[in-house]
Amino acid sequence: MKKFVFLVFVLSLFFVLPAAAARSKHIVDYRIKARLDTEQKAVDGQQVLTWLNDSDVPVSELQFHLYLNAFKNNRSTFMIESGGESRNFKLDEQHWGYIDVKSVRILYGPDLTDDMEFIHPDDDNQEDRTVMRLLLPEPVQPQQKIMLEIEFFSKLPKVFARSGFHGDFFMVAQWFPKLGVFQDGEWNCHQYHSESEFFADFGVFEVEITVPREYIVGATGKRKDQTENDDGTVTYTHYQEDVHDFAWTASPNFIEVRKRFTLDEPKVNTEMIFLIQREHEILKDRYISSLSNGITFYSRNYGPYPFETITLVDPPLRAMGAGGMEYPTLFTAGGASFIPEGVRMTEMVTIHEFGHNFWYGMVASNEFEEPWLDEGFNSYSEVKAMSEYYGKDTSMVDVLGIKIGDFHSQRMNIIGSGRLDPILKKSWEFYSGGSYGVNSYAKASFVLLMLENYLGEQVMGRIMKTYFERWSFRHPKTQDFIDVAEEISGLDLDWFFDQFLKSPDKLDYAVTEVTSQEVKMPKGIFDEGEVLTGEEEVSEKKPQKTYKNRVTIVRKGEWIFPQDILINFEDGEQMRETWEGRERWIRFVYYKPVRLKSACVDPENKVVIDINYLNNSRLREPEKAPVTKYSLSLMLFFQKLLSLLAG
Amino acid sequence: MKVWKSFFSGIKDAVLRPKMVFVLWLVNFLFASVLYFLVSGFLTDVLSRSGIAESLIKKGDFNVILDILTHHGGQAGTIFSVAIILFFLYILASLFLRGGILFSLAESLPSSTEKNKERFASIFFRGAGRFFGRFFRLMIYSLILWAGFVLINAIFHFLVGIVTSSGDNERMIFYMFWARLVVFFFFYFFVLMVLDYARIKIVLENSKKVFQNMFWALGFVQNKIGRTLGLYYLLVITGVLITIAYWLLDSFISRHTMVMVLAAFVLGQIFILARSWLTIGFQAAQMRFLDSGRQLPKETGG
Repeated sequence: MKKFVFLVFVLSLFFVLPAAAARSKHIVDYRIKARLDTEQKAVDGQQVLTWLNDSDVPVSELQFHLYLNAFKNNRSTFMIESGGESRNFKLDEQHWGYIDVKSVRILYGPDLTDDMEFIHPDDDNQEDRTVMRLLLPEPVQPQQKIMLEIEFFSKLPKVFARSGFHGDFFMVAQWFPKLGVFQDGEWNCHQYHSESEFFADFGVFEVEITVPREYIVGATGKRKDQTENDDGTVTYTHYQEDVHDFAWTASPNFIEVRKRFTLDEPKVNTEMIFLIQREHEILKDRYISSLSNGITFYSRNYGPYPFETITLVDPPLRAMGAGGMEYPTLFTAGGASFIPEGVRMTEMVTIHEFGHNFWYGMVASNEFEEPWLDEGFNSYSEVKAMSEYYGKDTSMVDVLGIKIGDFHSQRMNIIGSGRLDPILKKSWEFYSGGSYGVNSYAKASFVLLMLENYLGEQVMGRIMKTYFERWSFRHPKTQDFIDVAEEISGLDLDWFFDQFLKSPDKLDYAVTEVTSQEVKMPKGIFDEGEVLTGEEEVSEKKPQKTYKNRVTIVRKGEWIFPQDILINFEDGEQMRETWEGRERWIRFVYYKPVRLKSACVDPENKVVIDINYLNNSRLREPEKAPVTKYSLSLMLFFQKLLSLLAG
Repeated sequence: MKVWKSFFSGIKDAVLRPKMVFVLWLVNFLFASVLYFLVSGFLTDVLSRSGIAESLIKKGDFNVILDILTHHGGQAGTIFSVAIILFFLYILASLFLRGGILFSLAESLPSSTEKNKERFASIFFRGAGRFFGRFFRLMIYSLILWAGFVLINAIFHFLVGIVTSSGDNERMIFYMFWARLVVFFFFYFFVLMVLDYARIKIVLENSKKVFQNMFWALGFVQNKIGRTLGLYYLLVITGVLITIAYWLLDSFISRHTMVMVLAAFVLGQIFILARSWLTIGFQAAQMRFLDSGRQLPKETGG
């Protein structure tokens, strides 16, 4: 029998557990040496990985993500699902990407290279190489650590699906063998899917990055050291605690701008580092201003941004497949020098991707299994931040009289979408990429906006703050958020979350009838033998006309939500009704001496997820003026078109 | 000098023909009115009873556009289809009117031997009827020119693609985008100009040789490229100035009340009238230009 020599480190509490100041439990500790080969477009890496078994069961294997292998060939699960296209970019088949784990050994112990195997926990695709299992010679006991020494070679694809190179620009992300999360007695380590992002444990990263001297480097964490080497290279050492991933970028074409950001309440003191393409220098002020807005908004509303640095990477135009992506303390933005200031895509992407440092970076939910906890929370935060800084109706576009808010652009995605998936679903199980996007981002964002409108802004603010404080640097699940929401609001919210998260339906309440009919006086022969002619209505006793006013509200969608109803009468009187909204319809009848003017469900527009605002209200008499206005405008537009193109 | 003279003579000719301007405007108005009634009926159906309608006169609401397109997209699509059909019918109507314009203008040329005392309508519609068939054939034959236009643009697109597809120079990509637009519009206007001269020649000579005249016009424009382009762009600039003036005036009108909505509509009609006037100016100026260098005796009859 082969004799294994292994070393399991049982360490003291001082070593195992994080120091008092640490925000997270350090489950992993990566010490990586990475050397960028700019000719081969590859990274040679060596890592010493320490893993703490924080569970209460012995663990006899480790599972690693090898994300870059998604781009190794067209048989990977990612490539099959995506058809080789992601974020409007096609994989350049001249430049496949992969990661080759050259050796694994227990530090100062036996070589385990032969004990590696690829597994396919999600789809049994034997060709997929994105998850690696490493069988250990002996289990790691609870609260013990294991240290591994791993050599790897990462060949970068031409920028595709967040990572890669373009010319001399390198976005080195998902590039090293990264442990999955041992959770609930098993490994949670999913394959890389076309529609999924990431999940990993918190810990410490110290990475030495060696690049040619002319390259400017940005990376997760704070720069600890910088050494000039004899071979014309420079080694930058970056260090960061309490993060669960590490990404870096290098290019000789960056302009590096550093700016300190401070906030008094809550206390924030961080260095903003901007790595901007030379030809995007014009965007510098927009980046600085929007990142400052983002830090301010998230810190004030959820909790102070705690890290010492935040790095914004501006990719070249043709490497936008790497843009708009978040990593701990570093994110990629996106912009082009010719985008006018009134088109706020640059601002939106900056705020959104920075925001992921809260919803993903710190509150590190499982993006594979519950993507809404990350993208939905962040889209909700984004739409609020964008509205606060750029105006609700102008936060996305404010050019040549065209005004579109971030709210509108999110709503646009929702109302035209199908009823195929609920929000709560594993990311790779959605009907399509579009369905994943709508449900995880916009619809989830609107569910939170609606919850805010239902509970009130203050209560929602407390919920979000409490959720952030309680679950930052941990891995919360959907139920954890529901628990916080119910605790803070003091309400049972299962009815809310059950339908909005777990069913794919839609919400649509409509006012279908607003009528007012004069009540005729009784005529004919009645029981007492009295004969009425109908002329009695003009008698002095009954001088007033009476109208039977009817308002009918119909629930057209499947989702149920309590409705406020505002009813307006012609004399200016207003009445408010409430309806639980459960039945298919409800009718309100009022006998009054005045006629109805209009009726409106959800008059304050709180139920933002309603798919049709037009039918939320109804007038008894049609309003012709806007019809004339828009018909004339369209006619005039058509006249100009005829005159210019066919005249 | 000849260019300027033709330009001012053309402008003067257009000024002296208010009835013709009115006819052009009226046809434009009538075609667009069809769309007005369709849109008005549609919006009455989907919008007029919604409470949102009350606020729309004062302020636009992007949600309304979203809801209409999402929940009433079928009806909106039908209206869009009708608009496209109207557009093509309008092209035919314009072709018809173009015969009337040119025939009427030709009557007043210094070289004209016929000084017709007939009523405007009689001359105009006689010319329109006489030349419609020929102009329609010219439109069909012009597909050859348009194919050349497409080919030139495709070649330029291809060349620009070579420069920009692998390059990272964002400014270059930006400038190339504009270069494409310039090339597109230059050749677009060029084809329109050639067709203008072809039509003018057909009318002046009462010629039925449509195909030959199209190529004659192409040669004419090429031989006098500086002057023909100069005259054409003088007229284009006049059109741009009119448009800018309209935009400036229009920007002062906030459409928050029905009165202001109507005011904006009336201003729009003045703009369409100005466009109609310029259309006649275009034809008149180019006719003057062509006629001034013409040595051919005028044919009669038809």
